[in-house]
Amino acid sequence: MGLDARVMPAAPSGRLRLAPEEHRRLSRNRRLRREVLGWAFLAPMFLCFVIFLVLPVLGTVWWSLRSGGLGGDTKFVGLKNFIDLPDIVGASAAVTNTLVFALISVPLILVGALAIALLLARIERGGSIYRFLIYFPVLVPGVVAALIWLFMTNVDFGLFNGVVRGLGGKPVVWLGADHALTVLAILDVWRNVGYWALFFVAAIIGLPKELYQAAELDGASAFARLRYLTLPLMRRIIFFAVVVATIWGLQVFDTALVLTSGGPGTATTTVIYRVWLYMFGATNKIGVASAISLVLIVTILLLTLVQMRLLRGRRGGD
Amino acid sequence: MTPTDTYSGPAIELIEVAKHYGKVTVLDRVDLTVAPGEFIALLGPSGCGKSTLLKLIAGLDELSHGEIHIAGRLANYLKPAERDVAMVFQNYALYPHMTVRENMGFPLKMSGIARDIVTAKVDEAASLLQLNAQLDRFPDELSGGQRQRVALGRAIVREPYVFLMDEPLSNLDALLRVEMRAELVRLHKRVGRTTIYVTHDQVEAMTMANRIVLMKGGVVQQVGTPAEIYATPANTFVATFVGSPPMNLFKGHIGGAQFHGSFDIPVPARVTSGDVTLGIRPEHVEIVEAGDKEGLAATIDVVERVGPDAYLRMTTQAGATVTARVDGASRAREGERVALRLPPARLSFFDAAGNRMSIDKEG
Repeated sequence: MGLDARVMPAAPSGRLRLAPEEHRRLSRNRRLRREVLGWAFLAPMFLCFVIFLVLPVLGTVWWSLRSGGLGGDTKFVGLKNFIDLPDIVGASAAVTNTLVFALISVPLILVGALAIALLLARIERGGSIYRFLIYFPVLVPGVVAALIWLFMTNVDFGLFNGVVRGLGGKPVVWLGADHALTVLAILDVWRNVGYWALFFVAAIIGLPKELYQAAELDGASAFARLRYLTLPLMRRIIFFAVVVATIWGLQVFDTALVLTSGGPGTATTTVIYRVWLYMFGATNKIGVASAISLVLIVTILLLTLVQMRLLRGRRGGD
Repeated sequence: MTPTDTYSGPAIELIEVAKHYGKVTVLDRVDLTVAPGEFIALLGPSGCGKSTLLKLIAGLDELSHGEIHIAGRLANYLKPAERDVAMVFQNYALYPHMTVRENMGFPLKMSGIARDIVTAKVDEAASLLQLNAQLDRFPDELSGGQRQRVALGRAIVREPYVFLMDEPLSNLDALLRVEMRAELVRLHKRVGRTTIYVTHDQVEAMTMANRIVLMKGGVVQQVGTPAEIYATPANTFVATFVGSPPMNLFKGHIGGAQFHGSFDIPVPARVTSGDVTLGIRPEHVEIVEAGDKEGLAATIDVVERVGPDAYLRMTTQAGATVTARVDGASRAREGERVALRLPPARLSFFDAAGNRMSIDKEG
């Protein structure tokens, strides 16, 4: 309820040392100073946001409505690029590959990270060494990681086939059409599991110890404590991880480029890889590349909304 | 039928229970026997080991030495859930994502009890604690007192052999604490289970417990009823920790049935000669008119009025400070000169090590 000057009792005249207008002016000045200061602090962030996000997205929208290649002549074609999308070369394969990739890698990353985090959180001494070892692959650039895996998956002298031979099996063509996408997904798991494990460890360590002591006294087994305490309490953090890991999964590119060049054939050509091919490849169609990018952005937004709905639930674990 | 149904010995026996963290001794050989149905308060300042002792009994920490017997069973190697104890934590430890009903029913659910029985038991405990209207709420929608009751309810539904309570009232405001104190006592009388209650608040311990275990630095200083602890403190620590204001203590020595220190007064002939600390409770210090021949001359420095009582802080001629508790209506004024009498029958004597000296009367 706001204060209404009409119903307020009038102050005895002559008691206030400043006129009401003067009070209003000073109060307005004070508010203004605070607002200017606030905007001054926010300005650099907004500037970066506009330059590096808003403008590129607007540029993508502009390019998506044109035909032609980067650096050449382009002309306005309306929504033609979007209408033709389902029929363009490799589109369906790229979408399928990306979805299969995310379906393999995201659950493995998150379940693996949670399992590692639960173990790491129990280590009392030397935990930092294990944490570093687990986190190490995260520090390796994607290109270098792909090169390491290129060696490990080599049919003749790679580590994987060394193990297979040691177990008496026949060498496997890891980067052949049958396995390449799975290997790419596992490489992604190797690279990202440590990041999320560390993320989850921080969350687990922060959970109140007394809740676990109470649960232990209440007769909850280790599994029951995970099922009824840890998972519900970490619900929002896990949700965040699912959303972000999925977004990352849908954008896989550098490892696919170095490890398999999208092949054999189109076996590992992902959506972003296809965007790159249209943008900088022989076809050189910047309009198509931009249209695919926009569809991916909208897909990720929708996916995030759906996941938010699905995982929105009861309180706790904020 | 549980094994505890036919057992009739002590509820809990602690034999030389010790806890060390590296070279630090947190608990030093604690011996204690608790009778069934008894309400025991573990009292002491912060860091005295009282909460550690409670956790050892609960099985939430491993002991370094000694034995814990609960209902006649050696509990050292039993899991917390196997000890038939329930614990109420200082900050309640309610599961934030579960409703009051789910919180209270959780221990029963974990022991695989049928859902309808769980519902019935939770309803019963909820009516006992007046929580029926809150059963579908979450902990963050409850007041401090209600959360406290939910924590109690979660302990009660299990019908444990022993209740362990770790400063359960310390997060409540003063008024609510007094209310909950009475409620806990009523509950104990009604449920009749052995209870071990950790507190640093002497008023809680004195008003609630059948017996108090007073601890300091991991060592038990005295075990006794509230009246025993107050009237015959085992050492100078107990004498000053229990009672507000604390007992007056004066260092000196005994010779020829006289105390010689910052003042000289006659003492019972039974008190052995040597260095002593003489003690007297503030309410036993008698104030008489200045000039009294048998009294000690003193000046009132400060008068603290706390309603029904007034505390007089005084200095004797020789510089000793003495506190007296008098009626709140007393007309004593700061700066007033008075005389003090310390009745010999009310005096306590502690030896050079600070331990109570037994005189015949006390056996």
